[in-house]
Amino acid sequence: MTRDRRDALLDQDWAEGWEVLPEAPALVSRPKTAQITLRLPSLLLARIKRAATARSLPYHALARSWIIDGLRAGEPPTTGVGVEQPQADQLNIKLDQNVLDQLKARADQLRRPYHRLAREWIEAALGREEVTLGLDQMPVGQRPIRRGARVRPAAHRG
Amino acid sequence: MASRRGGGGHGRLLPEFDWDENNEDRLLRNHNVSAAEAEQCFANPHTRRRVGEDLLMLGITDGGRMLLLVYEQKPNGVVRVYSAREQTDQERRTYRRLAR
Repeated sequence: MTRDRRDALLDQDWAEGWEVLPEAPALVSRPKTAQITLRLPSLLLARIKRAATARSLPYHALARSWIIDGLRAGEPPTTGVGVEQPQADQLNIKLDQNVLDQLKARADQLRRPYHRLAREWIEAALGREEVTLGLDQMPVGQRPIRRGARVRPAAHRG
Repeated sequence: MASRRGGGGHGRLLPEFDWDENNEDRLLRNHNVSAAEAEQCFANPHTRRRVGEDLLMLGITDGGRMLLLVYEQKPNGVVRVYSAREQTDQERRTYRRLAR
């Protein structure tokens, strides 16, 4: 990876001239909600949407619940499926600020990027969910039957 | 020193941070600084300066790591951290004298 202008600033010892440098602008306080943007393989996002359809839930909400479950369980995810695939799609998940803070703190303990930790928790939970819903053997393009949905009997002919 | 605690525990209002997999991965892999540690520097006593277009901070994490951060503050106030390293001995002295 090439060193950029900002990395070059690390080469200098700033103690000498620190006090004569202009002050940085004042910090602006943050909003109460926060968002995490995950880059995912298209197939993984399609699987999340399929599981959400089967559960009759918005897929963002389902993904958020998996992150929260991962934090509660405390166990680092063991899957890495899909990480090597091209991360073609984005998934934006709104989180409470304290959940995002907990996620960052857990990632800090594990010395892993919190984006990756969240993605791996989602992948692990999705795998379990697909087994529970019977989706694991179903091609992704196939539309799942929603839980609780009535199955229409086939129309009788004449 | 006053007790250190991230997440605004020092009574300081924190900015919104702009993290994505690029800057988070890079900071951890190249500089062994996590997003949480970088944010803690903003929550804890620190001193900040401008160098051209870039902003520098001498700060400290909850775990006591004394870091130099390179960051940007966008017009809407959102902070993006780009780079970091441990402070030199001289920078630590500057930090102790000026951090608020």
